[in-house]
Amino acid sequence: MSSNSIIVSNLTKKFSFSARNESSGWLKNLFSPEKKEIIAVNNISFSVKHGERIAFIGPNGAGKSTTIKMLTGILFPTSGNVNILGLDPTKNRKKLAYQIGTVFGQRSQLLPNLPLTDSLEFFGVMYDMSEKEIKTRITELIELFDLDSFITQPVRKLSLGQRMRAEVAASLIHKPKIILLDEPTIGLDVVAKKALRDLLLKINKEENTTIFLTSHDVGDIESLCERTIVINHGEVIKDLPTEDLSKTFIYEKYIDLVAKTSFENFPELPKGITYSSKDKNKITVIVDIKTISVQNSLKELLTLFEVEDIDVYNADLETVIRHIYEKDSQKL
Amino acid sequence: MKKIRKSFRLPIKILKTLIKDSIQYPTRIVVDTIAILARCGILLILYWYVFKLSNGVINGTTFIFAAWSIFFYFSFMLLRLRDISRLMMQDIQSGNVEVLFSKPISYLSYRMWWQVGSGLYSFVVITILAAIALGLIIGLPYTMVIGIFIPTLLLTFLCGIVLSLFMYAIVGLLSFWIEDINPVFWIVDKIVMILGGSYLPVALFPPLMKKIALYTPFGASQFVTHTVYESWQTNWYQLVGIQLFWIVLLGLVAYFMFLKAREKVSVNGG
Amino acid sequence: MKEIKFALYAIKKNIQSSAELRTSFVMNIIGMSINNIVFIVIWGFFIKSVGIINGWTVADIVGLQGFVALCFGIVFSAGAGIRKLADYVASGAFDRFMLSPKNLLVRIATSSFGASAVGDIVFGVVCLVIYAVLIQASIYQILLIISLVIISVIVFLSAALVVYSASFYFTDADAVTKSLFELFLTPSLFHGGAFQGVMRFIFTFVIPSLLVGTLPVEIVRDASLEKLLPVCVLTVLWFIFSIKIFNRAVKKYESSNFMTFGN
Repeated sequence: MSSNSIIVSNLTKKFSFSARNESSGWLKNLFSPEKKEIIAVNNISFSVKHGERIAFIGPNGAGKSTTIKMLTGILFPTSGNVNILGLDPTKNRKKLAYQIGTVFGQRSQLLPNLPLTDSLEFFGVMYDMSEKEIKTRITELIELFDLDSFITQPVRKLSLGQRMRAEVAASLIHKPKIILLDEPTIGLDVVAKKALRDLLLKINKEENTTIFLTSHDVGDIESLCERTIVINHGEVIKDLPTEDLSKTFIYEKYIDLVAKTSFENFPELPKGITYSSKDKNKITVIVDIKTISVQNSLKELLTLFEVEDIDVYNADLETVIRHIYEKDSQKL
Repeated sequence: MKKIRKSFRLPIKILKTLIKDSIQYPTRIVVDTIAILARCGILLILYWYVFKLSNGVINGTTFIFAAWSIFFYFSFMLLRLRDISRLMMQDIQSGNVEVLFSKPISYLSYRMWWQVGSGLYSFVVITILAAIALGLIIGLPYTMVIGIFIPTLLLTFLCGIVLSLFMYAIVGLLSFWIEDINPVFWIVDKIVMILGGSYLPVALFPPLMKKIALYTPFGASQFVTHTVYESWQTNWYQLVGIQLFWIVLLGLVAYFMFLKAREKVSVNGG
Repeated sequence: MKEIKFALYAIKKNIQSSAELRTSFVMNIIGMSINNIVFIVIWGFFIKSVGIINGWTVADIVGLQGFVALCFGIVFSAGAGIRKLADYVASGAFDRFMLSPKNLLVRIATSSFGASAVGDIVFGVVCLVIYAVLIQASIYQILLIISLVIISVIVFLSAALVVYSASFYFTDADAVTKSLFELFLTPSLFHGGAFQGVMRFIFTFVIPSLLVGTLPVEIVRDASLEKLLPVCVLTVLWFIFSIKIFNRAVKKYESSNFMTFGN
């Protein structure tokens, strides 16, 4: 077997659905609805190595969930190929299911009225593990995930943070080689988020589990994933190490100008400098250092404005990602 | 042998887990007790009065037979097999069905075992207690103490469970194609209610209705209500045969519908 | 007056936004009608095999189903929110009603619209018309039917309020209130003539099931003022009682909410 756990080549998914036409009557809509087609995923290719940690990000409706569903064998591709751990999800869904774990942030798979151990045992049996294996694994998970403090409480009484930890633990009961997480940190507070990320890192290190997650949370991406794939309008627009992602717009510098008294007018800026925000007390500008150097732009700015303080910095990851999305949308 | 044991391991785990769940979560049994009192209890009192008015015999049947027949219907209802339709509709509408598809299980059989498990505890507890109470109050008809009764009752009971699950699963599977299965569900459910002999015990059925009850899956799923009557001793194998016929037929229908549904989900995301 | 205007406005908005209405409205009406016809069929066969008990004919069964379906339809179409009370309380959505500047009860009741219950209204009206034709109702009886519909609706509403007020007292209130309501609704659909003696007493005074169908049918049939008067009195008492219960239950919500506030 190759060193890749996921290989996706030229994957495309089109949905056709009957659109309800508001202007025609319900009878017509019932019998001869108009057919519409949307391309959710358009000819994407990438591969993931064993033990890699991948962030799969994109704006809402970009095709993230559709891709995950095709990876797990829930959806069949319109064209293209998926190969996971040497298996084709469309043909070997069940076989594949034994080797992957899934966590859907907004959908619990646990039994709400019973303590977590019952859910863990339940899934253990579902994945054909022996009683002994289940026991050993549960002890392992309790230790690894620090579940001891709430293991005897009914799941519905857990806090959201505890529940997410429990969800991830449950999806790891069968030692999957890959774990796919759809927005696992949604709704969690900062502490719980960090705890969950640390856990996933631990799992990745100790069991060499491949992690494939979608998220809108920059922190998840920054602190957890070594590689980021950005998808928009069904196409992969970036696929690079997370470190490099933040350098994508390295030629852009941000400068904050704090007013001495207050900014009254906002004059036109020299070429290469644009306003990012205008306020009476603070102005933020973006400098394109390919056009104008930091030194020159500062000179220019100081002649234009009377300032109390200046701050020069690079764009943070969140801004970078927003830029990527926006640039991609402008292309259309 | 080992293979058989292995294939029953998950179902048994489902049943065990859900029974544990019901014990920890006693609201359900309270609710079920209220429901059976509201329907079955009141109905029995009314029939007791009605039989008394008619000097004890209606259509050649006495109260004791009618009462046990009605009781079997409501006891069977406690399994709540009908709820599988709505459970499946919820799965499909909420997208939960897709989560279950990512597990190494067959969705259809998983849901059926789940359904049996979720009603089992209430069913066993209430049926035993209520049967004892009813036996003490009105006694047992002689048809219930002969040797053939218990084995044939169990047989038709099991067939009834399987048949009901298939029938209501078919209704549930319709959610893959139509938005709201409730109207279909009501109709199927109410036909089962009439033909099962709930409000009107089967012995009081007019001839045509009796025929419909015998030869449709709706009536056949509730043949437990026929077991107390004298005629059961001679025609039980015919009735079980009818049940088996419908089990095979509806089983195939459910299976092929499910294949189609899976295809639909895979192609168009449900 | 302002309250009523707002209630009507809320109902209108609910109808407009009800997605059910557009797609499966007709299906719902057909399904609901068949659902209801079942009871007429059952008791029709009952009368055929058992004979007429205490003067109850098939026409009376039709009338009974008409009354109950109409009550159910009116209360649970416009006031479908009452049935969701348990859900509102459990999910905390009740807070938003407490903040509403309008009458709390009216606001909750009209917060949702039950499209399928419109099927019951249609069915109920059809049944009552058939009933009136079958018994060859006099003008006097027709007037009785109309006024008894109003009375039954009030009783039905009161019963619903009392039962669903239990939402504030149980943790798993949804299932409990549903089954308690069943305890009220199921007997109301039973053959009225079979309720005699103790049963009649219980289901008139303790659980008001007979007030919404059986007693109205008997009043119309006998055209009797003797029965009408006590029914009116009971209706008024039930209504006052239900409002009292509801208000008391709501207070329970406030206190329990404050208790859980800290953790």
